[in-house]
Amino acid sequence: MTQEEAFLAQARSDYLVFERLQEAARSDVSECHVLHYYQMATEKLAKALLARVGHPVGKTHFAFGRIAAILAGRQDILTAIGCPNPPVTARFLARADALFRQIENLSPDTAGKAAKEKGLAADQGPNVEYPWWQEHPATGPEWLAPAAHTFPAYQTVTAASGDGLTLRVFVERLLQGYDRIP
Amino acid sequence: MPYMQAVRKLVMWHLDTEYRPSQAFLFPDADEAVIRLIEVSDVIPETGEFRPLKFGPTEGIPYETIVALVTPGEWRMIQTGQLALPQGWDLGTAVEVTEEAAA
Repeated sequence: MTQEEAFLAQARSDYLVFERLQEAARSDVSECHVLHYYQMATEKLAKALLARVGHPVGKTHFAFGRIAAILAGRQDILTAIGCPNPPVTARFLARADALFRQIENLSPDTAGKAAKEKGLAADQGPNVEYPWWQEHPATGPEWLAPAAHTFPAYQTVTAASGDGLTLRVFVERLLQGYDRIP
Repeated sequence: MPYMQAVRKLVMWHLDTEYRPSQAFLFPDADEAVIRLIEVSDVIPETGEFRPLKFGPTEGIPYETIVALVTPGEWRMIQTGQLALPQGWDLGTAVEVTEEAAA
């Protein structure tokens, strides 16, 4: 198995777990766990794709946010995976870049870097794995647990409407049709 | 919220996006418990499979919702019987929900 094949196999497995967790009641499984598997699946899918197109994979969590622009510029790939109108898909991907980055920023590493860019500490970034803190004006530092948090990205991934729905179906079908990429 | 009002609201949400589906079809539930939609999109890759996504009731749409995005080619396959629909999705009862009807 190559590195690319291994990332793809793990992405497909993570996505299946995401689907199982998504089906469970939220009283049983918190949003963070659903999003964690979605973030992991999309990161590994992205890393497989990066390897396929000859980009460095690296050990960073920054991957899913990179593939929107790459795919938008590769209509040959969009054609190969079965997009009926590659220019339209390319425009959607370019526009959905923010959605890709919203998912990417769910990991502790990327959330920490995003927090630092805002002038905060690295452990002040909301993420799906580890507690983070925020400064409460009256009482000082207040810690928050992912399991008790409501994530805007959850709506993006699970709502029955909008570009988030299109992105989710796109990801699912990219996983299915990945083997057709030249 | 009445069933058809929720259907129109949901379809309007979808049609109000930049990469809107070209067509939306309601597969009515006689019990008015589940909203089943097929939407035709030329953004997504074609796989020749029918994989609807389920969503629980929300404050905005208080019904269980099942939405399937399909490509124009897959919609033709459904219409000609080459792509089978799950039990309960009766093509004969499907109703196109247009922007005018949803508004």
